[in-house]
Amino acid sequence: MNTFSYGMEAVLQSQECAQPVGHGVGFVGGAAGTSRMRVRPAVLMRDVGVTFATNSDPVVALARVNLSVHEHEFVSIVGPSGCGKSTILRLVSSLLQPSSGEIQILGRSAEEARRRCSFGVVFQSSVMLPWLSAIQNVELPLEVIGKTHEQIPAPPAQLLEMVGLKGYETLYPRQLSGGMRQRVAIARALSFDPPILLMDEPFAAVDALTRQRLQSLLLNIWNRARKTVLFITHDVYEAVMLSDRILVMSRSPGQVEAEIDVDLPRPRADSVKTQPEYIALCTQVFDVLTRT
Amino acid sequence: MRRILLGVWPIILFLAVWEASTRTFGIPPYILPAPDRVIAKVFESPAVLADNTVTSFVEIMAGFFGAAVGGFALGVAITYSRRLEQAFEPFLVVSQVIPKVALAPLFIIWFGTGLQPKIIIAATIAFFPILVNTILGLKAADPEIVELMNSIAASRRQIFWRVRLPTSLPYVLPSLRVAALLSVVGAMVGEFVGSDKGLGYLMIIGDVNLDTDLLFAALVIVTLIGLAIYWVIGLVEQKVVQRYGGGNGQLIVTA
Repeated sequence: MNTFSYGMEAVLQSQECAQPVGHGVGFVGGAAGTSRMRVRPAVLMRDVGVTFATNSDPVVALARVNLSVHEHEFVSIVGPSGCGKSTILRLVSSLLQPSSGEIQILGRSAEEARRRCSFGVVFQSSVMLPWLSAIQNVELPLEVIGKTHEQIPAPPAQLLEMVGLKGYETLYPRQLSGGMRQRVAIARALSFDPPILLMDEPFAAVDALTRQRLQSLLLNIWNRARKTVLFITHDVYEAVMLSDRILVMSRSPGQVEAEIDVDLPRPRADSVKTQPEYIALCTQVFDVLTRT
Repeated sequence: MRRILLGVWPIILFLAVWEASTRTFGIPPYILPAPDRVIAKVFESPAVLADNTVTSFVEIMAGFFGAAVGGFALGVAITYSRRLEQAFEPFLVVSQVIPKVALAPLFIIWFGTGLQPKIIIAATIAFFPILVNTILGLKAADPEIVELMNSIAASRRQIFWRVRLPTSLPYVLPSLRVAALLSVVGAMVGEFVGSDKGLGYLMIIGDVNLDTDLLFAALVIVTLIGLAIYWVIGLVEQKVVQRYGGGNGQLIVTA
């Protein structure tokens, strides 16, 4: 576990960024699980609806979405394709404005949170600038935001090491595999130490083995940094494996159909997949999905 | 070196066939002068040729740089302003259809027979490929990269310098190469229509005097200028493509 130097002090510092005072408690990667719920939600959506105007009838992408993600919580949203999962992520990151309802990020509006760089985003395709090397891609947000290496807990080189890319710093995207590029994307999302991580099907485009490795990597990182994570996926097993809580969405118009707590102990290893509780939870999620 | 030799061989062969055929078939020099006559002509009055070459070269380069700066600047403006884009759209369509060289006589009427009208003609022809490809290139930025930049509150200026401009380079540079050659065409056409100096003027003089040697000598020099420009921009382009990718830039050209 100590191969990563993303140490505790660094994490405490990062939590201070998320919330100004007295909040550095209760982490250290033990089997803490979900017992420590925070009161203030990191992400809050109240009666959020999205309607797209088209040439014919307006299309309702999201009907009335209510959800909240607590600080340091790992929440997944699963649902059939076209249910508006990604729309939720775009709303939270303020790339899209809701037609109705209210969104709050750490007590602020989504737009305000965006301006304060409150979230790191990881997309399905690892969007990298092809003319920048791996480390330059990780440095990009720091340069754009104007943060120096002193203002962040882990410099880009250390983050690349943490995602298992030591020695690949100077390679260009075309020289990296899909899985490696996704690792860079994760390091980049963490580079400026945002309190929230938004992930839009980040492992959907890689092969099964790579996906499994990236999942363990994400679990590891989460155990250390306890960032609030909103994770979009259509992979039920992945959602159960990673999350504290799963929100199951119904087909269009999108709505949160069910909310399932995942009380599997942490830290989780791959062996969790053989446990009856894990299988029961997966079945439960599938049941909701087939019902909708 | 090997590659240069391989490239030179066909040219030597071509010149040899040309030389041999003018002799064997007894083609009169006023129809087709042999290469040795053309070369001799170049060295017969180097001062006159050099003088006219400079004139043409100035016209070509001034037209080209004017078009490059103007085309790129307007391209950026149009990409960033919806209103400008709407205003310019009909002009862009017409500009694709209209034969720009046909405007040459008009420019002579407006601007006289000096350098100015030739530069303007060269620039007009070279302008549109740069403009169109700049717009294409700036718009080719990966929308997800732009969203990523937006998610960290990057300003429009930052997105321009860090994403849009580098993405556009593989589109803009090939258009510059083509534009440079089009400005050669523009300068020549301008000189044909009305001038008292330049390589195009020499060609006209050669033509009316049946001094085909002179016509060919001017032609060779123009070709060399074109090749040199093509080569220089090609070098830059190669570096850019290596770094910023390429091959996906579609080039839109009209003369």
